[in-house]
Amino acid sequence: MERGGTNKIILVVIASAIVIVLLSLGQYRSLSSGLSPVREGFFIAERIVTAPFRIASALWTDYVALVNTRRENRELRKQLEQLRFRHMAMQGLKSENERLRAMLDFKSEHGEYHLLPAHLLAQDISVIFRTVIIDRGKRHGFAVDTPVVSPLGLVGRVIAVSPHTSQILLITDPNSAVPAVIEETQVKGIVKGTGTNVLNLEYVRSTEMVEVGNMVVTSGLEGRFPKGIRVGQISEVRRDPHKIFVMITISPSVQMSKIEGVFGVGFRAEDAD
Amino acid sequence: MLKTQISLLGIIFLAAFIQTVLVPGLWSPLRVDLLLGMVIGVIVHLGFSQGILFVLAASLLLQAFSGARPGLLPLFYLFAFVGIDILKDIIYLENVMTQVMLAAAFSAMASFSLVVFLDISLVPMETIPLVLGSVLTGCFSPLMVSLVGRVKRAYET
Repeated sequence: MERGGTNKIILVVIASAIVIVLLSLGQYRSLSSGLSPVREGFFIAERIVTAPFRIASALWTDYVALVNTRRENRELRKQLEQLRFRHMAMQGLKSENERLRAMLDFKSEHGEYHLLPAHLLAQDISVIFRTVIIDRGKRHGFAVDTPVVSPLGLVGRVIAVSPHTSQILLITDPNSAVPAVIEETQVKGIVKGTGTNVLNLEYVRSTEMVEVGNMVVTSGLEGRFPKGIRVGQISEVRRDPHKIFVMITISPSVQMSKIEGVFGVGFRAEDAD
Repeated sequence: MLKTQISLLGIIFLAAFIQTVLVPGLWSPLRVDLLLGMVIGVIVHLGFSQGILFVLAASLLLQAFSGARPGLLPLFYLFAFVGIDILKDIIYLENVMTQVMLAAAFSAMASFSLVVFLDISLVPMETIPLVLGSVLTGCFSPLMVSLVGRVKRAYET
C-alpha cells in the first residue's frame, strides 16, 4: 500500500515534469488543440448563462445610457455653437480693436489736425461712381470739401453734407483730382480717379525721375487737402517717346472696398502749402 | 393715386437701403438696380401719366445716393421709362421673361454706356460685378413689377 502510494507520487511527479517540459518546448498548443471542443462547449454555456446579464447590460449602456449621451451630445453641440459664435465675435472684436487702435494712433500722429471720426453708412447706388455716405455731417463739423482720410491714407473729400450724413467722393472716382507729389523726388502731378481700383498720376513730364514703388502723397497745393497724406504707391510707369507726359499708375494706399472707419480732417487752408 | 405714389416712394427707400447697404455688404463691387423693375411695373400697372411722376420722383431720390452728376440718374430712368413704354406696344410686358430680359438689358446698357462715356478702362475681372449686377437686376425685376401691382391693387380697386 505504502509502495503503491509512493508509485502514485512518482507518477504524478513524472507527469508534471513531462507537462512542464512540453510547456517549455512550446508544445502546449498542439496538446491543447484537442481540448477545443471543451472550450467551445464552455463558451456556449457561458454565453447562455450570461446572456440575460449581457442583454441587460447592453440595454443599459446602448439605450438607457445613450439617452443621456444624446442629451449630452446636444448640450455639447449647443456649447460648440456658442463657442463658435463667441470665437467669431471675438475675431470681429479683435479686428475692430485693431482698426480703432490704428485710428487712435493716426489721430495722435496727426495732432496738428482736428480729426473728426466717422463710419461708413452706405455706398454709391451705381458701381461706376465711387462715392460713399458716412454717418457724420454738418452737426459734427463736416462741410463740403472736408478731406477724408483713414489711418492708411487719403480716402476722398466731402461733396455733399446734411446735418447727420456726408457724401464722400472717393479718390478712385473718375471725377476726383488731387494735387500730389512723389515723396522721393518731389515731382508734382495730379492724381486722378479712374473708376477702377487704381489711380493715375497725370501731368508728370517724361524727363522726370519716376520709379515703380515710389510713394505719392498729397502736395497740399490748392489748399483742399492737407500736405503729406499718403495717396498710394506707383505700380506702373509707361513712357512714350512721342508724349510729353509719362503715364503713371498708382495703387491706392486705402482699399476703398474695405473702408469702415474714416476721419474728416478739419484744417485751415494756411496749413497747406 | 397719392397713396400709391407715397407707398411706391416708401418702397424706393427700402430699395435704396438694399442697393447701397445690403448688396455692397455682401460684395463691395456688386450693385442691383431695383428701380428698373419698378419702372416696368409702373408702365404695366399705372400707365404713363402716373408712371412718369413716380419715375421722376424716385430717380431724384436715388440721386442722393450717387456720385453721378445731378440729373444723370433721372435722365437715364426717364429714357428707360419712355423706351419701355414704346416697347410695350411691340412686346408683351406682362411676361416674366420679358421683364427679366428688358431690365437686364437696360441695366447692362446703362453700365456699359457709362464705362464708355467716362472712358473707364476695366480689367476683365471688373466686368464680372457689372454683368452679374445686370443679371440680378433682371432676376429681381418681376418681383418689383408684382410689388407695384400689389400696391396699385391695394389702393385703387
